[in-house]
Amino acid sequence: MEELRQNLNYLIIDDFDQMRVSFKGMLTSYGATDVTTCASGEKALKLLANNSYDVVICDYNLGDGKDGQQVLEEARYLGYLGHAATFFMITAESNMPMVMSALEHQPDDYMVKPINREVLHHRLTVALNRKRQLKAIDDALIRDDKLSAIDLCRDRCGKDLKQRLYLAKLQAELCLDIKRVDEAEKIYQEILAIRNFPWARFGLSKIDFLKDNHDRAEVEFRTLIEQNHLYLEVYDWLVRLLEKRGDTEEAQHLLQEAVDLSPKAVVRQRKLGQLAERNGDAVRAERAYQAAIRWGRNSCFASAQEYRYLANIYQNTGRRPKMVKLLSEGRKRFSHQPADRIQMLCGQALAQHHQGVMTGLEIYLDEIVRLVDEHKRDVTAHHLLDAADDLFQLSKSDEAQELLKVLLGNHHDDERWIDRVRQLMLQHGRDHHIEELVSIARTELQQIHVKCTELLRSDRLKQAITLLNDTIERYPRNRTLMLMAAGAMINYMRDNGIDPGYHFRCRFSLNRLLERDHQDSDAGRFLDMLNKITPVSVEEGFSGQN
Amino acid sequence: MDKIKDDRDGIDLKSAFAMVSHDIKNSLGILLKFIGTISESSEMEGCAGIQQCADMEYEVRRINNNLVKLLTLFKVEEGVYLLNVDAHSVKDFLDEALLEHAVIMRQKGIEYDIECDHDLYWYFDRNLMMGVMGNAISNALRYTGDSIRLTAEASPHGLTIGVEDNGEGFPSNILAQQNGFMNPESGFITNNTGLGLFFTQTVLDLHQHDGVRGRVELANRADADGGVFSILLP
Repeated sequence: MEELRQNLNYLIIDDFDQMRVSFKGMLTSYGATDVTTCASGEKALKLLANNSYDVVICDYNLGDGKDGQQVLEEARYLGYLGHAATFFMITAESNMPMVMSALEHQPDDYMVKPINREVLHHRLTVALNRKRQLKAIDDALIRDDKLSAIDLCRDRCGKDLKQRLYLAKLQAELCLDIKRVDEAEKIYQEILAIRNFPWARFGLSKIDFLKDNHDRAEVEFRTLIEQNHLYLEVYDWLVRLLEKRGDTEEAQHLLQEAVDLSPKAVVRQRKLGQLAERNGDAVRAERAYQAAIRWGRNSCFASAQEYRYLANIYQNTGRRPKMVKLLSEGRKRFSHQPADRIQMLCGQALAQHHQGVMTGLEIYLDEIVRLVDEHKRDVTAHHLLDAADDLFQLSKSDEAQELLKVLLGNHHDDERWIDRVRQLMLQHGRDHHIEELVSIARTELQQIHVKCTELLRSDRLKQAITLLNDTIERYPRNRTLMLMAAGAMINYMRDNGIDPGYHFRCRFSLNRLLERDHQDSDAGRFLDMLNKITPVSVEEGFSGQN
Repeated sequence: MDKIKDDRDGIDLKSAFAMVSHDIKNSLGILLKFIGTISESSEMEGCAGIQQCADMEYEVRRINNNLVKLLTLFKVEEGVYLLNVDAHSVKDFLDEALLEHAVIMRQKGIEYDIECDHDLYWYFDRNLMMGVMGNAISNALRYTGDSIRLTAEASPHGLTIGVEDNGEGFPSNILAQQNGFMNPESGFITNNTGLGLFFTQTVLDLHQHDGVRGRVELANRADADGGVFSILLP
């Protein structure tokens, strides 16, 4: 009882009055004083965004809005729910598809109704104890430091079997995340030698796929699905495999099955739409995008893509009013997400252009240019290329080329992107301006690149770092410069001790690079080096600040 | 045309079954809360009716457990049960299995005892096994004298969990027939013990390891009066 009396904050989410009152009563009887209750997933996410709770008790079934699993996934995705918070899912039945999902999508514990006071107390005590034992790992995961988390997982000696199994599973999943495939493979094999866990078999088949052993991976994926119809993540991987092989018909068919089993998955619906479009199946594509938009209305996983793609389908089939309505809904929907909003604005401008309505176009264009400028860090090369394409179609070549300049500044040494820019320019009859545009962007960046290399060679680290960081401000997605800056800052700190500002910048940009590409081994290596020179006390200070 | 209609009817019946069962389960959950509140206040005020509350709770729990058993069997049959095997502390698990019945035991004055090593861990689907234990403990509570005992022990064959009571023991016809309960013609499945055993065996069948399945066994104690319900998890 002692355990639970300490000032913990509880949040109870249940759509039944009776249940909320009952849970609150039970918690109060153990001495809890800070108990908040709410009736819907939407309200819960608002509460989670603005408060921090130690324990969340959430019913899976919450009526018409989001369900408990959506609350959990979105709260974790949006960073509202640190790994330190203990999340309990209450279910009416003893068996839910979520038990098969990756650890990051799983609650800390499930409880099956009905739950009496004694059992709730027992479960809370056990879960909080467990959480405390895992605190160091949770802290590492909160600050997005997967490498330290992996190191901590390795230390399994002396722990009980349940913990050892959990740590092994977590370690393997983290290793797969950052593409330490061999380490993950070894763990899965060790686990399978003990018991035939489906998740370990799934892990090994993912590795088979990553290592291009496609035939073996396919057989195993299919076996897993056959044995566990609801193992939805396996569908996603099998779809990836079939796509890679070019069998898009079968991929679409399979994804359709997964979507029928669990229609609320926005990302999967969007993917299905794209596959159907590639297969020339406009009817199913339309249906899937519509579903993505419907379920995405109250989900953080919605994106502007499904709006744009569906708008295109409406446009091609001559349903203009529907298209305009859809795009204006999208613009409102994404008013706070710059990259998505840019797509919507372009779509609307184009729609008007096609209808011959030229008034008001400038307002859209101004906003597009302003958004790109203000949110360079979030606007990817794909976004920029698409937006530039739209602007060319609107005969706004100068604005389009401004966007391409940003793109080239972020990818000045990446021939693939430079080629794509060239192709786009050609497509829109801008042949004469290609080399001029490419060289402006390249020359500026190359000069900086050369200057920094010289500064680094002559050991003027601080000057190099300042120049690099200033340039990164303007081109915040330039990988080459980000890596150079990180390397320089690590070197500087190795000789001169930790500089909190550098340390923060360094981890921030390395994590962004790894988010963009898990396979970025340079970023991974630098992050390793950063961890080696970081004393524990610095990390604690940071996790407090964040 | 007829075929389409048949298909649709089939689907409707199945989803109706699942929906109604969930609805009943929800109602039972709320009913249990009410009973809990009433029995707590009557316990505090020392008024009569405690015994009726305990009986009421016992019956409601039985309905609930039977419903859970039906739903689980239904899912296994449909091939949509996701087995969730993980490592669990056996002591923890047995503690919780008893806590489910804490109020009833207190009110009926039944003593309990757990004999299990604190460091004992085993692999199983916790929720399914909780259903098995709920069934076994509920039976033991019904037929026992004044105490029940849970035991757990690991051996090279697997984990043995026992539920012992000090009542009169199992009648000899049940002991004689216990291996025939999977056979519908035995008529064993028609009574409640039959459903409980069928559920238990279904759960144990799902817990396979190295080609070995779990087993259930009913026996009477040699040392004293009472029955022993025991299961072996590979």
